[in-house]
Amino acid sequence: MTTTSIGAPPPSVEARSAGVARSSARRHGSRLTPYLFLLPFFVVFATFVLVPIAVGAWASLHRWSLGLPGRPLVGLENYARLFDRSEVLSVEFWSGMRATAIFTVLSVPLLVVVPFAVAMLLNQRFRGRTFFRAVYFAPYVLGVAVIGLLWRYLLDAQLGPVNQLLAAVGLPGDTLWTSSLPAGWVSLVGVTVWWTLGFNAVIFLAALQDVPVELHEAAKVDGAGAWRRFGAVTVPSMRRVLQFVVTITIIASANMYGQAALVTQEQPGTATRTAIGFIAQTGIQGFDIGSASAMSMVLALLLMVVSGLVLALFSRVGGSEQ
Amino acid sequence: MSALSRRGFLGLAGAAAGAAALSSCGASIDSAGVRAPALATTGEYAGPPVQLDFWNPFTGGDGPTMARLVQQFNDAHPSVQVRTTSLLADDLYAKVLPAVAAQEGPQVAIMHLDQLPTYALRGTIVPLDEAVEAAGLTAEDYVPGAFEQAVYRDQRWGLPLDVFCLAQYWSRPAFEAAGLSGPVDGARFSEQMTALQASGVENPLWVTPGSWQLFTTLLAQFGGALFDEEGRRATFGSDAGVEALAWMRGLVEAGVSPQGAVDARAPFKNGSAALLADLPAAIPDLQDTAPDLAWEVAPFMTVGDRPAVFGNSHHFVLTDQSQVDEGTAHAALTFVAWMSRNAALWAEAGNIPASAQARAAASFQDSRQVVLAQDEVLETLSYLPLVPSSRDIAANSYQRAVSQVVLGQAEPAAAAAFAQATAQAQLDDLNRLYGI
Repeated sequence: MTTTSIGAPPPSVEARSAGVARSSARRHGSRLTPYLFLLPFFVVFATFVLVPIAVGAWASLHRWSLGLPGRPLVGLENYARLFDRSEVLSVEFWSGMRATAIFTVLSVPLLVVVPFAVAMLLNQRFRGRTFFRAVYFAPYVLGVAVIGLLWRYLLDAQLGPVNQLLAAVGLPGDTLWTSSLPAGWVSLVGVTVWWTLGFNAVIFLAALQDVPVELHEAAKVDGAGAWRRFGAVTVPSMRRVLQFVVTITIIASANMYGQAALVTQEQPGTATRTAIGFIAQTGIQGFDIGSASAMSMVLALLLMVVSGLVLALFSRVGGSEQ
Repeated sequence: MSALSRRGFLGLAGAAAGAAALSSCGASIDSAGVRAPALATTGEYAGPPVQLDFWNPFTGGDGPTMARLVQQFNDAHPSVQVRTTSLLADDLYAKVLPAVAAQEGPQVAIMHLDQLPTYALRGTIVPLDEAVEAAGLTAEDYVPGAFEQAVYRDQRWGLPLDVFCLAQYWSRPAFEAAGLSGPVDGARFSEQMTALQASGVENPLWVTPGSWQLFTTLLAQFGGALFDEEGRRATFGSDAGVEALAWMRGLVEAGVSPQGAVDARAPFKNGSAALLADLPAAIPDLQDTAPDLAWEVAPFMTVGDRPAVFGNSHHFVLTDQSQVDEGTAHAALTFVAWMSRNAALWAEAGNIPASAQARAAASFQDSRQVVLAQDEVLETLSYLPLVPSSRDIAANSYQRAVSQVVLGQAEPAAAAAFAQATAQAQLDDLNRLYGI
């Protein structure tokens, strides 16, 4: 038993306070460093994200047709026109939003459930696992123009192989995949799932591998079957990742444009023209910057609301288990 | 510690970005408002070497032909060197306006006839009246109808390169197998189609939802028009329009065209169709990709009350950027005048050169499309009207109606009425915007 002087502070406390003094001295000299590290990315971010948003918000308050002199401030008139059902702009915009909503509602569940299932399969140990991981991810490296053209020809009702293969196995081989509804939606959702499931699957796979094995073993010891373990261990451990994937998938689906423009060519009529498709046509081809900006702002606001709802849903549902 | 809190930092950054954005908005994409006409210079340019940029929408089989034509010009004019860029039509029309406004675009471009008013109003292109007169070009130098078309609001905005129209392409072996001699003529259309179906071609003529040129043709044949003379009223929803839409849908219902066809050229190439209604751009395409098919081209048949056919043309335009100094303006005019006169080589791209001299040239007389260049055909051309933003109006109105009716999603009368109402509303709004 050693005798320690009560007066003097224990060596560890002294060392700690000296350490604090030393580290604050270090921090004091380099307070700007974090901001300097951020500066290059911030410049890019400001130029390509913040400034366009600000310009878009500013433009949406003006009647601005590219190339014409005069750009009067009209306040919220562009927004009012979007909600005036007698205006062509409003009718077209909301039917575009309807198409966007249909596509989002149809594709997001599939784009969350199917990649999750694929990730669970790819998480097993079997020969050729790496090969299959590459195969499922491969379509994602192609650009939208490539997959759009590819699937337009594959799904052509009279000239493409899909109908011919279906007929060969005895199924109806005359479905108009690219020129009728609801087959058009099936085509668009199917193509999008094929194209992007690899991306979501890779994220889910990484998250699955982070689920602590001990939790699974403890659950097994407690007598939980595979489904019970899935519900009680796997999903709650992945709550944050699930929330992230659901949010980005909703946003990506709501911003869909390429597949509709290439696979179904926004047919029949303009039934598969999404909101972004109409915004692009109004702004880029019609030169109506004011209206296009107002539509973009409305779409962005709706997406923010939806993201907020997703956040709230996940906080409430999974919160108690974390 | 007076370090900036995170919130403070974000607030400052946002304010700085906002201020930067708002201040940068002072420099705007705006036309100067002055529509000074193109400089009228005489003779060919012979000053210090000048480089011109030339944009055109020829990205298909016709691109290389235009490149060769420009090369001919470059070889003949050492002091004017022209650099060609071919881009997709949609991209060209979207990019040329901001590019020219920023003085980073072309000095010369090719535009379709119906696009001229849109860019004329925005100051992207300049009026050419005096310049064309100084270059010594008159209506006699061009095929009937081509030269007069490019006049909008009493000013000339383009010089024609070519004219093109809808035509019929028919397959000689398929027609012979059915005991027919082509081409198809309107009076006997149904019996010819029936004969072809009986001889094994189940769907002789495929009509696609994108066939708005066919709709325009039929509309004119049935006595209608897309817009009125002044461009204030949309008139394609008339009885003629409904009849045109019904005729197109009738092809699908009679089994002449399959339901939901999307591509009409491919089946013609592989023998699933015996007849094709298409623009002359199909000619180099068929020559390159279906060399074994014995096909013929002929003027489009008249199934309505009067002969008429969809027509459009490519025009040379001088952009605002070409007027930046006298040398460039003179060089650009030299280029445009030479190309417009000497476009005999352009016949290889399948269109009909607008220049009378080029049409008379032997090289054109040997081309497939010479049958379309007869005066009788050219006089029946129903050109697209010169209405600003007409393509945007078309996309939201009659192009959609055609698609819906051909696919059976809407009845012709209802689709035509809705399309006309939509077009009228948009036309009124645009006319208010333009102050017309």
